[in-house]
Amino acid sequence: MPDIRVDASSAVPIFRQIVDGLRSLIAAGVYRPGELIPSVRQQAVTLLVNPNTVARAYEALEREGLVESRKGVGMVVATGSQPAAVRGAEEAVTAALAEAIAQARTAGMTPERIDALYRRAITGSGGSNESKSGRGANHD
Amino acid sequence: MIETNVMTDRAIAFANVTRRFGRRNVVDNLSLDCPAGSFTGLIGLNGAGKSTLLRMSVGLLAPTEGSIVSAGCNVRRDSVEMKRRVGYVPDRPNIYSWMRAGEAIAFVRKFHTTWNQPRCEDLIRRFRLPLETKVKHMSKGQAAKLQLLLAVCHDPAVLILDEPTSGFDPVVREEFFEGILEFAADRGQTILFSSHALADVQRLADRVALMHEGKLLMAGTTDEIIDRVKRVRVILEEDAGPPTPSSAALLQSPASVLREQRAGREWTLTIDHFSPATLHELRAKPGVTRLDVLDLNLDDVFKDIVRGRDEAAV
Amino acid sequence: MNWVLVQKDLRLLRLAMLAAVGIALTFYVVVASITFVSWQKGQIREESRINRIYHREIQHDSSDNSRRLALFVADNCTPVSILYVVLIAAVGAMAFARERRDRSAEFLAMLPVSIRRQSAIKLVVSVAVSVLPLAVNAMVFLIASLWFARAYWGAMPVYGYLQVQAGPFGWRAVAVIVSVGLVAWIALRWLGWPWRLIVAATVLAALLTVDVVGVAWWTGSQSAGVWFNPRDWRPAAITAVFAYVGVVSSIFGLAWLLSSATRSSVLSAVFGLGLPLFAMTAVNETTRRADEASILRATGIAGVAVGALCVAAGCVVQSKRPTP
Repeated sequence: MPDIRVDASSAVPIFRQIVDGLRSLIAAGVYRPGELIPSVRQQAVTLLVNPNTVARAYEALEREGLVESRKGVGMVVATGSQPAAVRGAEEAVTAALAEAIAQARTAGMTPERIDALYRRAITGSGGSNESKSGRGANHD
Repeated sequence: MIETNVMTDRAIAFANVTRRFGRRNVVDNLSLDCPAGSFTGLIGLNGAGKSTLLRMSVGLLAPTEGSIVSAGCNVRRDSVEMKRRVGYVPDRPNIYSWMRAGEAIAFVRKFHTTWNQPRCEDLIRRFRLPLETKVKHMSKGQAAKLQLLLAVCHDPAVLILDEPTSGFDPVVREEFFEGILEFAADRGQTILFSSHALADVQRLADRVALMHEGKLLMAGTTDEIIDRVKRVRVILEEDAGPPTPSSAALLQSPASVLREQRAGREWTLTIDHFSPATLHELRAKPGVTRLDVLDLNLDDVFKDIVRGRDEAAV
Repeated sequence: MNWVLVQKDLRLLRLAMLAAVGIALTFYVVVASITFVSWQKGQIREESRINRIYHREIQHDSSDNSRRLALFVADNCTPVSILYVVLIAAVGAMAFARERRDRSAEFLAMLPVSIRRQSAIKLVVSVAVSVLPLAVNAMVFLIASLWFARAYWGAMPVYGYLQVQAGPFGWRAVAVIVSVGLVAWIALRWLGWPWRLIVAATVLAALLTVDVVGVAWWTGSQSAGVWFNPRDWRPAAITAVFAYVGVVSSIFGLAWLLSSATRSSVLSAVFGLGLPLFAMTAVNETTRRADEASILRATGIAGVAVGALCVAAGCVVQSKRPTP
């Protein structure tokens, strides 16, 4: 089963982590439109999280229009969801960046300095797009 | 969870429960409800009274005062019916040590009319249980997995686990949780478990109850608690001490300070029922130059509550 | 459901059942072989040495080996009966304490079956496990006695003597039981495996020495008993049965009660044995000169009553206790 990483000690709610994780899997084309995503039960057992949390994450994804429930089958990835997923993933990243920038501002950094830090970070990570963990926000 | 089989809206309910050992109130006038279908993590330090509370919830210990309902049954009055509907996993295995795993399963099965054989076989496979091994020759993890199997195969409406995974290796721990989740995802069973591992609680539970010295300090859904408890770091103009009054009465209700620490210009407050209004209130205090609001995980919340109380007591 | 509980309780008493068979076999086999050897040599001795402390002794005058053989076998049913008293104390003592100690009581308590039913089944199994070897032993005794009587009919001895535990022997029995038990308790509680064995062996050796010395020392002492006429054995037999059943019931009952109240089966067995023996010895000591047969019958009835009361009390304690 494609990997979503859940970090229980993070302050980011687990359901948010699952939403972000699935969204990026859809954005990356791991799950294609029309394909089933794992059932709530499978997902809960695999990720070792509360089934209610998974169900809630799936509801959120459904509201975003990324997945739709099919009677008697389960949850499938909605047609045309990939661009939406990419958009959603971008939004999540934008939010994370905004938070980082706000943090930098409160520490009194100039936009130039922030830009330099951002560039260093992006080269440091090798420019890869392994955004598996799909974190929405930072925490201390 | 997907379809909820509701027996009562409160599957487990403690009403003003007190348990005294000698003169000590190990559980002190505690009331707690676990709604049907909820997965509640009971957290607290060693000696907080968690185990006592859980043992009372399955009738292994009588409360000194108060009453307890489990799976819709009064624990003292309808104890036999209650045991048909409740599964319990103790903190240490208590199966007859001379029984083989297979014998223990056959033994318990005889007492239940609702034995779920497919689940039983599935768990035997999943847990790789050696049916021919005697319980006394099993590892701690194997015995605990057997105990879990025996607690869930009669399809109980309520499952209670007392520190189920303390001292397990990571693989066994994962298998154990998988077993619980397979069960939990089924038909809206209510689960109450105690644990030291806050990360596990955050992962598995959708509700949390925090016990300290026999009292219930906080209870609610995990998200709600993470949402409403925030840490605010205030940087002050001078290191002359925090704005007065510096106490629990510092903020307007419902917000309350769970813990405060002062180190030079930095004044850190952990605040329950945090809201934007609280932030405004703090910002308006004299001498405040900067405010940062930090999210906390369950671990931080728990530690701040307990330490805050201990510090306040000193 | 009832049957699995029965099986479980039988399994818990497996050791006791093995011990019962072991005790019986040891005595019967030893007696049989001694008798056989002596018979071959044509010299069955006057008295069996095995049971010189507690024995049913019939003064007689005969050189007929067949009669003596019967007497021997009957005689050796007595130590078996005595050891069965200890065994029955152990059966009673294992009722609840052991399951409470190893927490399997909690396992049991989580099953949807009432404590009352569990206790009732346990009582039935324990009584069955206790009574069965007694019955077999009584059977052997009866057959041997009948054999003896038939062989001896017409030339019955003039008097018989039914000895009971009293006097110094009674006190010593109490002291020995309590001290052995306490040491066993300490050994089980605080010592690891090889040490348990060493302590147990040392204590047994010491007690054996003390016992041998004690027997020599007390040879001249009196012990209580009932004289009876073997031609009219019924009153004596009834008295003996009364006394034995009384002893056994009170010991079983007290051990059962203690077992429901403590977590130690060893202590339950020790005091279950010790207290009734102490009480009976005291009664016998203080009423030495009274009509001993009636005293024995009275203590027998009292013993059964006390035993039944204790069993009932134990069941109540077990069902009312807040923790299993």
